[in-house]
Amino acid sequence: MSAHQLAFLVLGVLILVSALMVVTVRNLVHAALFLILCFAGVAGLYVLLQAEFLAVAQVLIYIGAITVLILFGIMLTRKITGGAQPPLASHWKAAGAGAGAFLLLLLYVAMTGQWQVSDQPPMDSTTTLGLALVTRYVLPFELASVVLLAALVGAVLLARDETR
Amino acid sequence: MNLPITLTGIVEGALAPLGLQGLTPLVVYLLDALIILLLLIMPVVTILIWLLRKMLGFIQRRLGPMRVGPFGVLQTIADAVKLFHKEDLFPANADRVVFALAPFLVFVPAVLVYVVIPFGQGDGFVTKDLSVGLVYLTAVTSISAIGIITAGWSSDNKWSLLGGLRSAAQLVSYELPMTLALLGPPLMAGTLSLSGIVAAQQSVWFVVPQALGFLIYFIAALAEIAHLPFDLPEAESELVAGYNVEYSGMRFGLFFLGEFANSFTICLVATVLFLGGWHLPFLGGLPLTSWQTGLATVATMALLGGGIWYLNWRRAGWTSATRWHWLGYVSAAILAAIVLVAGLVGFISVVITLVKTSLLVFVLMWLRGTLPRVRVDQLMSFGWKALVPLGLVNFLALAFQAATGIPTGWVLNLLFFVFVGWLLLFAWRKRWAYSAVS
Amino acid sequence: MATETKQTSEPDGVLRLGGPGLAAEPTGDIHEIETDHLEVSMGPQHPSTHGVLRLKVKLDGEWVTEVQPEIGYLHRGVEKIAENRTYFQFLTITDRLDYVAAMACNAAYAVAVEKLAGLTVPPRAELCRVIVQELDRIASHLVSVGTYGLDLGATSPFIYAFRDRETILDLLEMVCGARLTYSYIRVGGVARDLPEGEWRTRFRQFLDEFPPMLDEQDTLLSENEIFLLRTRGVGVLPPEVAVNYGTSGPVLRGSGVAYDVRRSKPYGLYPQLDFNVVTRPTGDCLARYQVRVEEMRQSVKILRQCDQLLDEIPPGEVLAKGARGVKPAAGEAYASVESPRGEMGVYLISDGSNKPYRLKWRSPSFVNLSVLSAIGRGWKVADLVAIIGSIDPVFGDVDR
Repeated sequence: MSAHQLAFLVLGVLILVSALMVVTVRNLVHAALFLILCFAGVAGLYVLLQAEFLAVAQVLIYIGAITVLILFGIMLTRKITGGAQPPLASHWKAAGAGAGAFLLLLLYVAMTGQWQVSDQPPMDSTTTLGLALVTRYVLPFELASVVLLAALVGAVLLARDETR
Repeated sequence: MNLPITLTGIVEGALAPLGLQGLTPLVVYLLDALIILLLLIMPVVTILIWLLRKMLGFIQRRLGPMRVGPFGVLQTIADAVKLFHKEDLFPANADRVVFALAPFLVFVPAVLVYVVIPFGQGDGFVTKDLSVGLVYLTAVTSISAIGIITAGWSSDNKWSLLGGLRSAAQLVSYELPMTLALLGPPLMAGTLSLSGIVAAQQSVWFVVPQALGFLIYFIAALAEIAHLPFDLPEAESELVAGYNVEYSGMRFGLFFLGEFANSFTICLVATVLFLGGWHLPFLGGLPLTSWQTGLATVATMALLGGGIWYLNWRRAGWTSATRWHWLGYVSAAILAAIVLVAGLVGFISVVITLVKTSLLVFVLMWLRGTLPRVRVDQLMSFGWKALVPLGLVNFLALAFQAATGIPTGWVLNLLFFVFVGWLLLFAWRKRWAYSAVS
Repeated sequence: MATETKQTSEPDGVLRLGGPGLAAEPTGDIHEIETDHLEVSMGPQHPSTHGVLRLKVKLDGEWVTEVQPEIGYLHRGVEKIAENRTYFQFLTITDRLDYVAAMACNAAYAVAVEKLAGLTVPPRAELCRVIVQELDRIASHLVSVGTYGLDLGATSPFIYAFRDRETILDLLEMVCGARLTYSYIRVGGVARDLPEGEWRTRFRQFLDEFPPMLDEQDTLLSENEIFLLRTRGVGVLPPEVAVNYGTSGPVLRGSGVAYDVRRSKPYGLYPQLDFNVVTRPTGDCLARYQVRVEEMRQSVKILRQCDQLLDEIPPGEVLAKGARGVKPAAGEAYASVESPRGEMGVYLISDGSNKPYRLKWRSPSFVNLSVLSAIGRGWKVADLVAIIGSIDPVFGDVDR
């Protein structure tokens, strides 16, 4: 077994277990911490695939920013942090069905896809990514930023105290 | 240098009988990290803490540590030993696992940062020169916020929680201007690799065309590591000690060490990105092996070292210091001998980097000795209303310049210099007016 | 706000973060979400409550919505103790009240007993009293100003303040042998005359060296932009509120009311001395800080005059005849002095014996502190620290 395979195995188990813990653990803060672990595992997978920019961006955005915000939100609503709550919310059936359907879809794509294996060493992924973002995918890129901007303005509007 | 035995060789030899040769690079990395941690970061942090206390003592007309070792150099080690002896307390209602893990979430990222930082010229002085080094840097530093928040939450203490919340808000807000400021150097250098960025500064340090960016970075980084004008998450007089109030023993020590490692890190990063890393001023084009460079280095070091020892004598008086003054000469002589005899390019470059870094660290200590703490809302409005717009303007000007060749970045920078000059003039005149009145 | 409650079975994601356990009912209007109010206990073990003050603080995020001082952690029943000590004996207990400015406590008690018993203090003793009181005032204000910097996160001014305080404590130690609990001012005079020779030289040296040192130390704070941001306009105490609460000292004068016991109800040698009653109109934390700094300069001015008077008033008797076993006739008296914290008054009732029938201590710290719940509301936690520091309570004095 090569180091790559071993690492993949470890990371896969890590991701699966932590993802399961996220939805089953009772304490919301613990769930958020397991989410971090899950994200870290995904970042590890990116490293294995030599997509270092993606891996680092994963850490920066998902672990460094999003989870921090989630934790921040949880702590502001303090009552729930220590309290026990049902591990699975009432909609678990619908959620499970949706997730299962998506899993099947993914499996189907993975099984039937025509995967090309390249012998060439991968290019500098950062440059490639950057170029692709401002040339071929410039429209979705700009759209995403517009959406984010709208979300930002919306958040400011919602949070603003109208009484002042 | 071609040593007959390399780390890789040893590891490979040890792993081969087990059939695990594939793991060699991984193990080598881990060992590398361990060696860096033990041989570089720990001593650097130890000395840094000592220096900080010494400088703080100087600013506050005290001696600082004097008892343990010559000039109290070993004081930090004594403190660490003391911390190890302390009981590792857990509050009764603390979330034990999270409480136990949080210090590591703060300390480990502080150390991981050093992986990509080029301490000197050549491959031997950087653990792994990632092509996305700069993004890695910001990513890893952002992790420690989680440690601080969870530490505050898991202690089950209201003050800790407040500290944790404060720091979450602060870190998230100041990451923005910091990242905006960090975009400057790679834009000018055309690479995200830190060695590449340093190499690009051979002729002009980026602090010259990016002075505004440098300032924004430095201020935002201060907030990012919760250093003094912005040390609200651990404001002793307001939140008792903030997120780490319930910690004791070495877990507290980890927070403490992580904090100092962070102050060193931001100075190091500023050196690498803006102050030209291992390049000397005005000698940019010359090869580093030349005699001039070596002499300049020795002179700088002698000046610095001499200054420090002089200050020590001034403060300590002859009676308590003469016993150790030979140490100054001896160590200076040894250092000079190493520099001159070995003449290693890399070594000189490391020294240059570290000297620049320590100058910045001195600025940090200076701030710590002089400034009071700002308030939460002042902190936030300064970040969002001053630093972020400035950072955006700075970045846009630079990007425009990079795209079109019209020197907008230079113009902005010139404006900034004029502004700073005006400020200094204003301050000087105010100072003068003050002394004239009283 | 009684908006119609929607069925809870279809929750919107944001509000239902807590699941069914969360008490808040999703009403659709996001403005109705109440964030939790955090009730914290600030002190009695807290680095910036200046002793054993405990504040019950209600926080909305960082905002203080309610603040209630809880005192009594240092209560020693001093007023009761007074009833079991002779007039002369009780003086040593007064040192333990405002221990940062024990001379003022000594003086307040001595003045009250003298008024009750009709004792006349020798002129040389009056001069000694003024000198030690003003030295002590500077020392006390230095503690206040230095720790104020500490409260706001600036560590260096504290060290600089204590450098100068150290000189004063050395001077006072040469006078009476103690650095904190002086018991120097006695009923009917002072314990002994001021020492001659070296003390005098060091005293003059201090008068020359202190003002520039004070200027230097003051620039560390009052020329610092962050310090101004933290104090200007913070914790504003309107003059009428200050008067209604009965505050005195720098807290009152910071609100622009020129009330100084040394001027308004003169005692001892003060009517002969030239000094200004320092006031600032704004009533914020900065004003209170500035009043203290300026008062130190005024104290130096007083001490310079005293330095001359030391040559003019010849040494001689420093303790009134019969002070030791003083036995006032039945009656009552109130007298007060200007302590560094304000009007420190003593109300005494005598039943004709050699012990007080009742003693009531009007402590300025206690009265000044009571204003906190009025002006501490609506600020941030950090401002609360700044406000407490600017009120400068001493807990030996508050709790008695």
